[in-house]
Amino acid sequence: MNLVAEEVDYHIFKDQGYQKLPASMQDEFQQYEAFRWAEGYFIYHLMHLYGIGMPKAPLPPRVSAGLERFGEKYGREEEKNRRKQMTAVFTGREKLNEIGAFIHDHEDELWRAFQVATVLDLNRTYKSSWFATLLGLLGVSVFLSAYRGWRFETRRSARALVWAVWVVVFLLCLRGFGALSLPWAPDMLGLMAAFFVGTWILGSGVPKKRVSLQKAGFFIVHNGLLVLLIGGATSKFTTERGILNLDSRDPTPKDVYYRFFDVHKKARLPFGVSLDRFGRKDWLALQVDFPNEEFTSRPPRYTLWPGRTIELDQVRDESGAERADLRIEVLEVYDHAEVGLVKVHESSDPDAEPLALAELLLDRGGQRSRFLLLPMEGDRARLQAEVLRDPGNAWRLAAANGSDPESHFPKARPGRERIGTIEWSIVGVGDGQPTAIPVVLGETVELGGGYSLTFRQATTDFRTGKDDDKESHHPLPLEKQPLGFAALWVDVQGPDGAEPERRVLFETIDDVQFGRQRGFFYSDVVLRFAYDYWSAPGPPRYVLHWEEHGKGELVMPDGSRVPTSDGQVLPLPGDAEVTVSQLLERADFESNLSFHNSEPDENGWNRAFYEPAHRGVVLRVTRHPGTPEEESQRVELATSQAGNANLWFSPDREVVLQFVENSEMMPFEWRSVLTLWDRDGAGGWKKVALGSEREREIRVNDYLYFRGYRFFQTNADPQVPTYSGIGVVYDPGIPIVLIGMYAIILGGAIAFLVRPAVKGWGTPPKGASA
Amino acid sequence: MGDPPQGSFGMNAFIDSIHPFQNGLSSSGMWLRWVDLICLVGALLGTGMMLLRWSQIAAVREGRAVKANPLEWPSTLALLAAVVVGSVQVWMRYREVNHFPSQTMSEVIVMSSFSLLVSMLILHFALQLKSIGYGWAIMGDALLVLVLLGVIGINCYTLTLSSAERDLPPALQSYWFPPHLAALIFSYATLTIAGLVTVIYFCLRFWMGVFRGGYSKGSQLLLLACLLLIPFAQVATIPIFVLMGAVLFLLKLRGHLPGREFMAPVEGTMEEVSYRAFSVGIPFLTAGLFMGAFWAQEAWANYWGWDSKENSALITWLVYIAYIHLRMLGGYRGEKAMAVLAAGAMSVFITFQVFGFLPDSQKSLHRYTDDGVVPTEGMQGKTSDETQARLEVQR
Repeated sequence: MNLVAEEVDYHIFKDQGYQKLPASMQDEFQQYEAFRWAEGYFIYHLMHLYGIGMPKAPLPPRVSAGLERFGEKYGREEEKNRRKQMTAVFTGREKLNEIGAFIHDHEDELWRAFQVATVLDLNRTYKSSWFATLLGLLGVSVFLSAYRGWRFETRRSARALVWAVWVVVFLLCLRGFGALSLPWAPDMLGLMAAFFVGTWILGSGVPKKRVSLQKAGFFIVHNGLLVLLIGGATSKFTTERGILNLDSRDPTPKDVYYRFFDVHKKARLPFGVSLDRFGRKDWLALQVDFPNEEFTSRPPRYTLWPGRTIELDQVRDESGAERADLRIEVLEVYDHAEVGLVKVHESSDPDAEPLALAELLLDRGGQRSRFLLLPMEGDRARLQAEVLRDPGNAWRLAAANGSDPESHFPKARPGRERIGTIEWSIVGVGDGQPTAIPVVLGETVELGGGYSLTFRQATTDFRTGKDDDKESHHPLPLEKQPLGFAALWVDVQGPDGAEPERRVLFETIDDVQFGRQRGFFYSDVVLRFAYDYWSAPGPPRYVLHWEEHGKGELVMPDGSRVPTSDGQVLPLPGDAEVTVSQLLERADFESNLSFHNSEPDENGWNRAFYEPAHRGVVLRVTRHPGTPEEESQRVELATSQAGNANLWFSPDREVVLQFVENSEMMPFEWRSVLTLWDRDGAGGWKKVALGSEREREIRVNDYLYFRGYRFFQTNADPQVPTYSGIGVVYDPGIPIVLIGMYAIILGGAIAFLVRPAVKGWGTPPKGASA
Repeated sequence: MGDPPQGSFGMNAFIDSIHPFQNGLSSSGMWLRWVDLICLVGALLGTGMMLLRWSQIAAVREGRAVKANPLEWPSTLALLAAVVVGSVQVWMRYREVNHFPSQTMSEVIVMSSFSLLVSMLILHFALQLKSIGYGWAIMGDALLVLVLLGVIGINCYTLTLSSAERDLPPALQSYWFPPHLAALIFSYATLTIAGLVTVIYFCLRFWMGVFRGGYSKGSQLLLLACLLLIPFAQVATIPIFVLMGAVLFLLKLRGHLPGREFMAPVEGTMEEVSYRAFSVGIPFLTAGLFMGAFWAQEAWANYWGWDSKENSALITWLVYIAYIHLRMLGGYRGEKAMAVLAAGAMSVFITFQVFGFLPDSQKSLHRYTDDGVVPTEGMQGKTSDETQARLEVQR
């Protein structure tokens, strides 16, 4: 080791960080960084025993007060835990600064210590030769002391052999009855039998008066230790470990893996491995929000399992004792949830908020679909759900409730119709808040600051590849175009008087969010376009009007009215048939979920684990439990955002439940299914028949063993859901070491537990006096 | 334990820990306070029982008929009740988190205080101290009182830790999780009790030396330094040290201080008692240690990862193995053997609680029990290597 050169490097490192060092030195200095932090952390704590002299950072009063209220909602225990965790964070930050300063002040000493530790191999003692030598010496001395005075005695050995045969027969019987189902049971059983036979025969040659429990324990333990050391040595000299990176999108077998602690050396397996499937399942959790509280702390998430009860929202009763005012019980949990269309019906609660809604069924050539139509306000449709448009473009229909239906017909003359609205904002002009203006084709609008907009063209059916960002090439006039993707072409004129910038704006695309804004010439002009499906040119307008549940009228373009009611077909032109399913005054929604659980087959194989699926839960939510106002409700939730199936709002909107798969923490489980391949001799691969998918499946704590190699689940990447990191280990020492360990446990139990239980403690301790 | 206790150990914390009727307790929290309350009652009964022993001893001395100690069965009953209620507490916590409750530091520590009660109950019957003599019965009573007070102290400390539940990461979802933890914690508890016996002995020896003399100044100073300067002496040795000093001082004032000849048999018997406690604990320590290896073998095909916690546990095991060999082959008896045993207890303490401060513990797999530490997805080997290997693959 060139210490002078290292000194030079050390000064570079100290001043400029290890990135400035030659590549060959970076590894070592990275290790030094870890070393100085670990030692600094240790010494700092050694110098501040019992926390004396450590910084104290009390919680700011504002945080503390917020936690008090938090505790009322989520329980005192949660409050205390938050307090402890936040105090630890506040104090911890201060402490880490102090440790950093300590390291900085003692940099030179730590560097010396690092060099000493490196020379003595202290950092990875277990890899050092001196440690291996020590273990070797231990083995030799255990052997010598265990077999002191040993000599071969024919009669004793013969007797021992007979006993040993009995033990082997017994073990084989156990195996025959299926009582032993250890991994690679035949190997283990054989080794175990060999161990006991050997111990028995060898033990018979040690001079002692008679076989005792203590002697048996002694022999089993020490032979176990010898076997363990032999196994350890086998491991040390033969083990290969690494990681095999597989991706289920890539079916080609891989035989190259990366060795641990030696990244640059690739190692090769004598066969190939490919990944058939990889799956991750997260814990199911419920987040309970109290939206009126506006907590800054994040609400806790409760992991769900059937039978769990969560009690929240503490209130005080007359006696001053707190009780929970909200109880959530988990009734059932499902690994599959289908989310259907939301069901609507008239609310049974006469005090419920009025919410008018028309449910319509549209039948076109046998294809039926359902629409929920919200009543319009004024003559402008802000939401697509406010206008139903005929797929054949023969009519469009809006709903009216609580207003004069005539007022919804736009009065603009043809050619001057409002196409939609634009919200504009310009950096440095006005108050910077978005302003909404109507869009009429051909019009120019002054925005202020010298900017103006001219609306050029619009389409309801933007066709990628045909239309471009300069103009629409749609063959049909706007009123005849089918409903697709709405777009608007505008000219933006700047204060500089230059050639105006032509822009195409799309409905539903936010230019800022999608990064288009930066590419615009006048990038400080932000525009958002919303198409108006009612006032824009298009087919004739009809209004469905009702003022009471189930009874209404259809208002024709000419102002005439045709009565209608639930179940009737509306007299609309065209070939589509529209049936009024329900006309509601106080609509109530109900999610439409169906759940089922996938059961693993008799081998424990569950294909459903690998299939992406929404998951479901059934809860019983009880408000005011234990009081006369107690009210229970069965709530079904799915982890899908479709139709807000993952959310539940209490009727008074004070509680919101959100059902999630908690992917922020460690998952519930990872699994992979592997296929193994042999080379076919012609440069290709052929599958090794290893049985069913369950037999080729690996889970955490359940590895696959093949030709001396063990494959286990070790890594995953939430960003790449098809990637699975498979640990590879080749280690023939494993069964040997395990035999040794089992023997030591067994021998220890015989000597220390069985013997006193059978024979008592022997003579009572002497000197019993007072 | 990454950080020092955040709360205070004041009177409020004590009252909190024995008050099962407060607002907003989880059911496991409530049962934990019942355990403390029972332990407090048991400790008071035990102290009373200890005091009544003196009259029994006096009766023996004076040749009078010895009356049975009326507090004997109530204090044993209190210990039994604490074990039963402690089991209920563990069961409640199991129901609250839906897995064997030993994942967070607070769960592990509560488990250890519960194990202390269980091993005390076992040792109470296994050691049979009162069958040896009334002096030994006092020793057994003292052990009981110390353990009960220790349980309250440990549970008090637990209340300064976050009791938030954590989901089990995939690697911990193994059938090895409960036996590995339970065997180790039980052995720690039993070996701690063995250590407690040695602490009582060394305190006794020191004060006998002070009041009666007979020991060299050097050995007395060394003993004093060990008793007062070991880490966390304030919860481990100092209370016993002060209490023994006060008791022996009182005896000296009243002229009942035992003679110098008293110490030799005391040494022999206490050593035997500590050895028996050790004998109960060591098979579980061994099994717990190797069960971790069986588990790691199933999870990562690696029975021994030289993880810092594994190393620390191995060192502890080796100290005890050294003890048994020194005792059986080296002829160590009495205070020499007890010193090794005390070193073992210290090593247990370091492995179990001081571990989080050790230099190499930052990247240990066994830091699951800390708050706010989320284990990374790469669970074996150097993560940086894995990351780099993956980057290479992506290139």
